[in-house]
Amino acid sequence: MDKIALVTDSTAYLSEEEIAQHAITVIPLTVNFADGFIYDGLVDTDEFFARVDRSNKLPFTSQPAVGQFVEIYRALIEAGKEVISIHLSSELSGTFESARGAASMVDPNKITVIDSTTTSAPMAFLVLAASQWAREGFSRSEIAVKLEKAIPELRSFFIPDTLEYLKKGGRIGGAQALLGSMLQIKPILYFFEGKVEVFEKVRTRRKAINRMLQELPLESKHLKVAVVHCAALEDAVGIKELIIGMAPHAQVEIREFGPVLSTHGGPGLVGMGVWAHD
Amino acid sequence: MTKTEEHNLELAINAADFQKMIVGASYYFDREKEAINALNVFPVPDGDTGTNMSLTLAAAAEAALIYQGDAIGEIAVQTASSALMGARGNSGVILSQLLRGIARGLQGKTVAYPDDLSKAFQYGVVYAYKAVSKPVEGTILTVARETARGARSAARSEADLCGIIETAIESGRKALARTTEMLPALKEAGVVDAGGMGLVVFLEGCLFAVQHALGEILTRKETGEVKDKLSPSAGMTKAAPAEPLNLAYPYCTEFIIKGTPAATELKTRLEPLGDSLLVVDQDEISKVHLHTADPGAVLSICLAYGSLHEIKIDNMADQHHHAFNLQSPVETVVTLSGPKKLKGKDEIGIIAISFGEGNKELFLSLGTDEIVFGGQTMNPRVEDLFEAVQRIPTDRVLILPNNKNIQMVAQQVQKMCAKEVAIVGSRTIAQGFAALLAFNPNVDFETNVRTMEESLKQVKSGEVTYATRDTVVKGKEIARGSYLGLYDGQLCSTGKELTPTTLDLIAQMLDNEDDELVTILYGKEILRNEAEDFAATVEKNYPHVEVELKYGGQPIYYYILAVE
Repeated sequence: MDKIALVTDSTAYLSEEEIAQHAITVIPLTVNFADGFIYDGLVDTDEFFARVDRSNKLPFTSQPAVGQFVEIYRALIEAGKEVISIHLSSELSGTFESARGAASMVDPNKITVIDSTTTSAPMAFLVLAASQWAREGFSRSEIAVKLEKAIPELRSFFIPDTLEYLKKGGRIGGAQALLGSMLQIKPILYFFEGKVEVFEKVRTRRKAINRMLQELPLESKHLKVAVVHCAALEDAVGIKELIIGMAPHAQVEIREFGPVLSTHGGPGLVGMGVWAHD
Repeated sequence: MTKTEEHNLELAINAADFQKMIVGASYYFDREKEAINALNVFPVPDGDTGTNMSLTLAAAAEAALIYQGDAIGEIAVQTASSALMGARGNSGVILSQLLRGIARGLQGKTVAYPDDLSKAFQYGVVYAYKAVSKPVEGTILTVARETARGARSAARSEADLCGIIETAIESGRKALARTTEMLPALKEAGVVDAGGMGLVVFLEGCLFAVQHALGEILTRKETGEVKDKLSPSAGMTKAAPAEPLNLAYPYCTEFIIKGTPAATELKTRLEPLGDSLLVVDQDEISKVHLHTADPGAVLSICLAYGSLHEIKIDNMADQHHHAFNLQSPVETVVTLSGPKKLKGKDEIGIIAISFGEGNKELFLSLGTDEIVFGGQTMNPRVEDLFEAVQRIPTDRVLILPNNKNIQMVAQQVQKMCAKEVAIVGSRTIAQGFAALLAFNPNVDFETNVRTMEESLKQVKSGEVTYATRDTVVKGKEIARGSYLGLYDGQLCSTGKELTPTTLDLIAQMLDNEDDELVTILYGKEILRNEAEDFAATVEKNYPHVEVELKYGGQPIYYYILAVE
């Protein structure tokens, strides 16, 4: 039916229904334990952290191999499709570069690879919107233009419950300075130019959440918010209710982190992805 | 020189007179400082006004004593500049500004006549008022203004130096007596303003000096009469009777190890060798500070961890034998500029004034570049802070005074520095931490100052100390030695026992249902398990509140609290 096929990676953490409904191809990253690896996706995070607890060392994450992209792009092209492939920030992972490499090997004229400069829920917003645009009949290049316009409209905030995971994962950019602190700090992190930076430092989780919510652009006509969490559903539900109270016109949903982002964010993380435009 | 001819030459005051007055006043003041310290509105171990002014005068006297020339204008300028560098506390800064104004009035003169002196006094008052951002009547400023008025009327009636000072004192005393009525806080405590009293005592000292020979004054200084004043830390000794300088470990030993950082292991190995131990790792460098009886043993142990650099060993006993060399009491200013990664010129440097080793480490861990030792009863000198600002390689520097009595010292430094210096008005250690958390290296200087200033309101500060004298506050009798809980500087709980007093304070601080974190910094007199038990009690009493316990290591305050 559609001429355009959408590809993304597992850190969008799309639900099975979304994947099926939009016929999206998801390429998984992996989480490597000392005794084997698992594919990223929406799995039971309690089970995942139980395994993390059991292993002596924190696992590490890997991007998909270029070969995986080549295989999938080739299959889609052979099926007569054009491809839009949207991936997590190139500042955090080599996934985007792998995808781009694969695209140039397969057919650069039919494949557009997009650096979302973010990950998780905001990236899911982009993928689902692109799918919608494809159904509405926009061409691959038109969709690419719309995506490039949408990317700066996205914002994402995260409040880790512990900095241990970020520290071990090493992908903290400007958050590095927090690690020396001998006092408990609950930083609000955010994506800035594709990197994870410190938005603000506060001492308690509740203050951090309240501060984060102040950043909601309430006056925006179209406001799409995803409360993200890592094994902290209860908190996420509470935050969702707060947002609905603050912005009745907003479209609010809850999205969970899978293993790869959990490995970096740690259990108890909450946050929000926001797409606001007029 | 027609002007000179108009003067009665017998009334000329020369450099030697000036020298005698400053040196004599410094000696005289030192004897009286405890009486001035006792004028605190609250009987807490506080930024002792008497001690601060005494130390400021001592710095002035040091310069006066070594002056070799014969021009009163010159000695006045040198004395004032030394007083400024040595100024501690708000009252010390105001006194130094008075001296600066006087120097301005005497500038270029070889000798001064009564009307010169009177004019110089006027300058002094102008400078003192200028030093205070919001001048308040009923303070040292009022007393200064009235003494100047007295001096002027005496000068007009052709009085000699003695007569001028006597009249100035008389006017000053009258103004001083009125301060009680002018400020509600003074009225409640039934005391006169301590700084104002200090100024009167200073003038009394000048008069005493005029009436005695310099040789006699200096002899008195050396005799037993002043034995108890030899230590500049008299104020501290009073404040922390349990902690006299521990001469079992006389060698203050400081150095840097370049090698594999192993702070925890080093601490364990060095702990038995002395006290005031501090080991801080930064990259490949460890900074070690320790008071010990055996510096050699310390160095030998540390050699196993890398090469040793910037070794500094001082015998602390020496510091107590120089009558006029009044450096920072007990603990020297320890800065960690060495092992810290140096910032670039364009970045923003941060200095915090802090006391207690634990607090120092906490401040450093939150991104402070330099720590200047100081706090209640041990205010740093203008010079200490000035040098710290100079040492930081950045062009813009933020100062966190963390004490209201250090604000003016910081303001003087701000005026003296070519660098752009901003002062965040943090009055407590807790506020200092809050301000540091609000710091954002990615935004400009002004924005940082504003958001850090704003952040001070986010935290409530508590302190637990003890009463330095019997008193009555709000109808309640408080015995000397009782525990006192202060909430944002206001006395709000008292008791004979530490734990109930502190719990009472915390109960009052937790006055908002949004409060969710109590940070407890325990002082050097509190044992670790004692503090842990206390924190557990707080957690039990307030299950919805998080409690974070850290070693602050501060003297005087058993606990420093932050509620947010």
